[in-house]
Amino acid sequence: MAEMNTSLGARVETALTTKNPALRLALGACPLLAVATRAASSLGMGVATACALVCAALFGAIFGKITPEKGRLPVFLLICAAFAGAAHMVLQGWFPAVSEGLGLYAPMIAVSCLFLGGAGRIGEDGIGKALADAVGMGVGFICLMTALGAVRELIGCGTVFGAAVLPAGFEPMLMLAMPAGGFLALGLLMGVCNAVSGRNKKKGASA
Amino acid sequence: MSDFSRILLFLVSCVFTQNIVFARALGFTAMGDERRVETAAGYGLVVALAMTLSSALAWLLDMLVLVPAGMIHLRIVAFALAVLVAVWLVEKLAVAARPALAESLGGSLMPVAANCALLGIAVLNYEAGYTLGQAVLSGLFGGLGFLVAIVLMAGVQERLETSRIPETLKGMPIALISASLIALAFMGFTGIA
Repeated sequence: MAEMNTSLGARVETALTTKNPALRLALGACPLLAVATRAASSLGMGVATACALVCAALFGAIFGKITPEKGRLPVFLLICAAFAGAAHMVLQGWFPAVSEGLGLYAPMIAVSCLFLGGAGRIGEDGIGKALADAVGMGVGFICLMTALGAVRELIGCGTVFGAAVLPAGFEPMLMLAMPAGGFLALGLLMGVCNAVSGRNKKKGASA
Repeated sequence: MSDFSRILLFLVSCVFTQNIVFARALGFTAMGDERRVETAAGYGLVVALAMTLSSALAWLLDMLVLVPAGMIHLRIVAFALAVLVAVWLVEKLAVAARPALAESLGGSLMPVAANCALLGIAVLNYEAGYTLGQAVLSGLFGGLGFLVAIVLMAGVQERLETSRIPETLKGMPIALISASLIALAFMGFTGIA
C-alpha cells in the first residue's frame, strides 16, 4: 500500500514537472487566453478548470475502459463539457465576479480539460493513475494561469491581484490585455519554462 | 443598406476585424502543429465546413430542444454534441468525396472536434442572439477567418524552419510569439467594419 502511495505521488510529481506537461499546459491555456488578463480571475478559472479536470479524468478512466478506441475522444469531450457546465454553474452561483470575467469563454473550460487530460491516452491507465495525472496537471495549470494573469495584469494595468505595485508614472501597455499580448505572454512564459527545465536536465546529466 | 452589403460587411468583420483566432484567441490550439501551407488549407476547409454545420446544429438543438424543454443549463454539453455530430458528418463527407484530403490529415478527422473555435462559435452565436440564417453565416465566415489564420500561420512556420531560433523558444513558444505579431497586424483592420 505504501509502495502504491509513493508511486501515485511520484506520478503527481511527474505530471506537475517533467513528462512534457508544458506543451499540454500551453494547449490547455489557449482556449482561456482571451480572458486570462487578471491574476485573481485567472486563478479562479484555473481552479475551476482543475476541479473539472479531476472529475472528468475519473469518469474518463471509468468510461474509457468500455469505449472502443475511436469513440474515446468524443466521449471524453462530452464528459469534459458536462463538468465544464457544472464548474460554470458553481462559479455563477458562488463566484459571480470570476464567472463574469469568463463570459462566453466558460464552455472553453471543456476544451482546456480535454487537452490537459491528454485526450488520446484516456482509458489506457487505471483510475488511480489517471487521477494522479489529473491532479498534477490541474495544479500545474493553476500555476500557469495565475502566472499568466499576473504578468498580463502587471504590464497591462500596473497592478497584481488588484494592488498597485508599479509607480504611478507607469504607462500601462494595453496590448498585454488583448489576445495579441496573451499569445506573447504565454509564448515567453513557455520559453522560460523550457529554459529552466533544460538547465535542470543538464544538471541531472552532469551529476 | 442592402442585404448584400450587410452580408459583405459581416464577412469582412468575421474574417479580419473579429478574426476568431487573432481577435478572439479561439482555435489557436490547432496551430501548434507544424504544417505545410497545403495541408493547413485542407485542415482549414474541414474546420470551416464543420463550423458552418455545427453552428446550424447548435442553433437547432438550442431552439428546438433545450429552450422548449427548459434544459438551458445543459447548453455546453449540447453544443459539444453538436460539434461532434458536425465533425462526424464532415469526416464521412471528406472520406467519400476527397479521400486524399482525409488521408493527408491523418485518416481520422475526429480530433478536429477538440478545436475550441468550433465550440466557441456556437456560443458566440447564442450570445449574439442570431437567427438560424445569421448563425449559419457566422459559422461559415468564422470558418473562413480560421482558414485565413491557419494558412498564414503555416506560411510563417515554413519560414521559421529555416531560421535560427533560440533552443528554448523552438516549437510552441515561437508559434505563439508569431501569432502575437500577426494578431497585432490584424488590429490594424479595426474600424473597417
